[in-house]
Amino acid sequence: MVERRTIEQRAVLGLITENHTYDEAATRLGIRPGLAYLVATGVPTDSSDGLSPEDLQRPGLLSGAAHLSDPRTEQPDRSSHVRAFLSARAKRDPQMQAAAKP
Amino acid sequence: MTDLAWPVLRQLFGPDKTGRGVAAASKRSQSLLARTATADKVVKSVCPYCGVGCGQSVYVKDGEVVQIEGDPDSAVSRGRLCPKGSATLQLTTGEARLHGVLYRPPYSSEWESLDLDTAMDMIADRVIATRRETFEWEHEGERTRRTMGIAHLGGATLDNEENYLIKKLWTALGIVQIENQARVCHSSTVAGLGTSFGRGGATTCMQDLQNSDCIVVEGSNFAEAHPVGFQWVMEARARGAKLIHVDPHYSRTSALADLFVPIRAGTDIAFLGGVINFAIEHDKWFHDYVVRYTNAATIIEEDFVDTEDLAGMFSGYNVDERKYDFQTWQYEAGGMNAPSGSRAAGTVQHADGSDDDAESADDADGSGRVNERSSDAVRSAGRAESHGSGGAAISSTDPERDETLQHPRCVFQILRRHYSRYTPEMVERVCGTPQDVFLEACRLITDNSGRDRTTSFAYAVGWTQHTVGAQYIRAACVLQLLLGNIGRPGGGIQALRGHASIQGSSDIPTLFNLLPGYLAMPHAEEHHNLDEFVEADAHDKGFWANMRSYMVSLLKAWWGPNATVDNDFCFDYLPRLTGDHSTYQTVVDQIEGRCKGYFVMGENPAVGSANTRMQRLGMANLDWLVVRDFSLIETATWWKDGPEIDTGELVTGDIRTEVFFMPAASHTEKDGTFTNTNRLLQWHHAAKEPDGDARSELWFMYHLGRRIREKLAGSTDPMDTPLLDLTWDYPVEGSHDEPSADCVLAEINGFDAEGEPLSAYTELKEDGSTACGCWIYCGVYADGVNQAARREPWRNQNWLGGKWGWAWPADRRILYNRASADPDGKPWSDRKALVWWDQDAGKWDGHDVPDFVPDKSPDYEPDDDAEGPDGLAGDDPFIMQADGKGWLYVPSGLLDGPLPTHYEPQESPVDNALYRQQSSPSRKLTKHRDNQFSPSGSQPGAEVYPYVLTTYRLTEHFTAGGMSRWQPYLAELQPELFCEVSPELAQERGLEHNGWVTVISARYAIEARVHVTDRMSPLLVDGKVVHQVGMPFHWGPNGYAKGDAVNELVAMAMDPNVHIQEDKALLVDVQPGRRPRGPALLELVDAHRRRAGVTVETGHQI
Repeated sequence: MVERRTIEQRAVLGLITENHTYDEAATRLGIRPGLAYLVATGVPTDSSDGLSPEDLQRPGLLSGAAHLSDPRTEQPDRSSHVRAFLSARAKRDPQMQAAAKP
Repeated sequence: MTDLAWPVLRQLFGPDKTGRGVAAASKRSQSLLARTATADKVVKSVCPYCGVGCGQSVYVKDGEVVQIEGDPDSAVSRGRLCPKGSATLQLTTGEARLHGVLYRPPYSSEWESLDLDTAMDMIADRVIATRRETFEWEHEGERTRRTMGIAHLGGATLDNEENYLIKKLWTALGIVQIENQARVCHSSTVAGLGTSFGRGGATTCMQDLQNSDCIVVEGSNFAEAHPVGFQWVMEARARGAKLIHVDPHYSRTSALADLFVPIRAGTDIAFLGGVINFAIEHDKWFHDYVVRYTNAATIIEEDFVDTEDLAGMFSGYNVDERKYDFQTWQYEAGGMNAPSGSRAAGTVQHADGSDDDAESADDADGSGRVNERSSDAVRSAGRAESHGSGGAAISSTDPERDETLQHPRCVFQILRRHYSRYTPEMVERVCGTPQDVFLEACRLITDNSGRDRTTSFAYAVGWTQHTVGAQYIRAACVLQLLLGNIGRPGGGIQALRGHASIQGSSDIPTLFNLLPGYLAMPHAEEHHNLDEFVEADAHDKGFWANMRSYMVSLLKAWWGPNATVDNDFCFDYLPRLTGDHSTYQTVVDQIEGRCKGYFVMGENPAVGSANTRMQRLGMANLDWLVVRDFSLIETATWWKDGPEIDTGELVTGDIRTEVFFMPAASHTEKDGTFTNTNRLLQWHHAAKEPDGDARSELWFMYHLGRRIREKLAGSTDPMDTPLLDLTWDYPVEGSHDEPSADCVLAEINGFDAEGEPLSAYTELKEDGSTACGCWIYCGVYADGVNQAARREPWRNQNWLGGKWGWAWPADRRILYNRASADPDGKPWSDRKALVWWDQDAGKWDGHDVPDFVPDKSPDYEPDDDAEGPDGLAGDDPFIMQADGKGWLYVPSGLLDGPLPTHYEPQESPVDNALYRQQSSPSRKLTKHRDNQFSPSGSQPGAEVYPYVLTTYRLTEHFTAGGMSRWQPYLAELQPELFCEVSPELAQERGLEHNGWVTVISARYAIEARVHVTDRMSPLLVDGKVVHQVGMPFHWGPNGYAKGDAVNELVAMAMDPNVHIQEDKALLVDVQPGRRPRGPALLELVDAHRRRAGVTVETGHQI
């Protein structure tokens, strides 16, 4: 049986206000980072609750928190192929090279 | 903790006394973990359904997709998904997907399995053979260098990179009949917005709706068709905005509105004209904005005569030739190009259904003025759509203006007279809208427009799919310009797109009439060389003056080192148009045997296009058909189990069409970008490789092209030169040799002679030193970074989400935003500030990327001989227009009139109360025995088809059903086709709720379940009770949720500018009970036609 214990909001927020990250706070409290965020803010990491402008002022709220409960995210914004591809295209084009000369 | 099985005991004896936590969890549930928690990684993606472009997080475990959820960081959707988006896991991983190639040999009654390699080889052979057989070097003496034997349909569900390779390869092969869903959904948007403002995309982004003080949703059921985008409407409402819904059908959008305005389908121009009249007569228009930023002050030629004085026609109509000569529509002392820039053409063909490939064009007179000579072939080539990013051309002569707006021939006075009879009384007579409701809408719209307040419009295909579709959009443009609502926060016009990348498939067009970036496809009669092409379309002033740079850079991207100054940069490699080669003409060509091979990718015309029976009859006359999709959609199986097999019109064993079914990869199995309804490019990452023989369109096109090039290697036939000279060298990766979508996007973005990615279209050159596959997308790979992959959480930035994805052009989120400031560069009001002139810094600054030359001061005045961007003044906000103005009046660019005018739909229950002219004299009709029309109004026989049918979308299904009817979740939510009728109509026709109804048009008859509801209410139209019936159009015979296809009923009656069909208002009869089976079905349709006296000539009168 999983051990159950109570983590209070002030415990998490206390660590966060001491400039600990949620990952660090979670480690110290022995819980998962996403749960630490939920306890601290009352908001799940997927932001699935509709928040009023007042809600958005809650202490501990992050602009994006999905990374606290998600596995690693893959979203590369560059490709190793591109530079070589464009460079080869340009080099193979003598007309382009000549036109570019001042 | 005690192991207690009973929850109450757990609560009483455990630590959770209130029962809000662990006490509620059983041992079983305690042992479970969410799939998101156990996944190995999460991959960022974009929903593949509608055009909202919701962010998705794709969870992957052990190389398989295990969960798909909304991305909470998305600036567009903020984590939300609708039922379709929530069913994406089932779409991508469900059992309905096929992963093997299927082949139907000629005359066979069954599918056979085929390995992918063999199938690709067979398809390559067929392309080569059909192309050889049908290649056409000349048409009526003009060089065409093309084949009319092969056609393509599909692209709105595909990535931009895929559309790019489709267009590039097919064009090099000489295929011109390239089309996609954009033709039948929003082509009229491009023509309407483009001619008015200079660009054909939505002027704003959905997030900015939250700043509106009033939102008018018309021609759209926003809440149900684009539910996640609708959150921004609700944000506005929460801030106090008023919501108006104008629609024939009461829906969830109506339920959330402050004011629901009932309207007869097909009469929105009368309604909008009424609001325009109200604004003018009650002096509610924005004077300073109108005078300085629109062409209201421009003087029109003396010979122009309005519809008010010609019984519903504009001057220049030639009854014998059924064409407009629009010379009299021009600016005085100025002069515009003929529609879409043809300085040689001057008249328009009309609704006589005659052959489009007719006369030869005459040469331009060189003055820049429109002359009377004409070419039907040029005109029918859909040129109005080429104003998607560059308005109609104008000569360098400055037109006469009267900024007092008192000159009787200034645009403002013409506009005032044109709409003077569009009174509340007339609106009620035409639209059936009660006057008090109409006037309340007028007050809300005009009271919420001005310096401090803005109103926005959102529409969808309820506006676009009409014989006057482009003019519907124009009517909204006129109103929004009059009210000063363009380019400002909370203003604008949102063209709600219905596919993940239907905007993208217009920008990088799998469309017959366009090249990437809304450059026109060259025409055989007009564009013999690059100089003629540029001369015909380019402006003298504004950024469209640089069109040669855009075109040369495109040719360099496609033909690389083979494109040189000496050979006109391979301009001659482009096949030429000679008329209408749109999808509906292609169907006629298939039926008549001219088109022999057909590629269909991610589209289902056997259900989704107008007159679906003709679609199938066309495919039944092909030599070969290639269908690429997830499941066996109706377009793949009509030969086996289509309606014509049941009626006996077709016999499987007699059908020679060879059919290839190629399983497609899902969006989670490929990299690429979708362009959403905000003009926003968003990159989706591949989470895994596709299983089995499923492949992306990028893979299919690249490897098909590679195979064809290998088979033709060494050919000295000049027919093959454009193909063999093509740049087709994309790196491949992964176990399937998937081409790099990044490299394709980088080519689209453009590069210089150093191989450096370009940053902006202003860097493009006309000397061949730059290459760029789509000039309006230049900047999407700036600095070697995939800007479309940017995903800065929405809370970290302003409401426009400028660091989320990349929007064309130049990452601007609200177009024409120079107009948010007054002529001096100051915001019209603090409340509506967007961009402004920073005098100290000497540049424009603000919340958005300025849609203006960054350092052009508000007081800049061009020299008389200034050209290009320098030719426009510091207070000309519409930089893609030749005069820098928003066009209230369109002197050129559209074929059917300079001002929106109410005409009845092709099929209407009433006579036109405004004019003697019943329907648009410019409407385009397909005259064919299988495409007959009912009589209208007071014509004999009209009583046989007494009811107005309008069609619409449901939240739970997607267009022609290919991505929803096979998904159990969605099929269960909306299992069956239904027909909504009012209690009054139900009583009149003896229809029972949940019973069956047979709906009969002059084309076909279908059946549906009856839904008796007040959502469809009868209207009193000019003293006559008009009943309307509503049907969603998603069903077909295949999948889990089966039903008849509503588009069986719809005719090929089209807008002449862009060839979009009139889906949203047609005439039908309804009868209780199920439709007949077998040949009796056709007998029912024939019997109705005989009773009504319908012949192939019916409805073709002017």
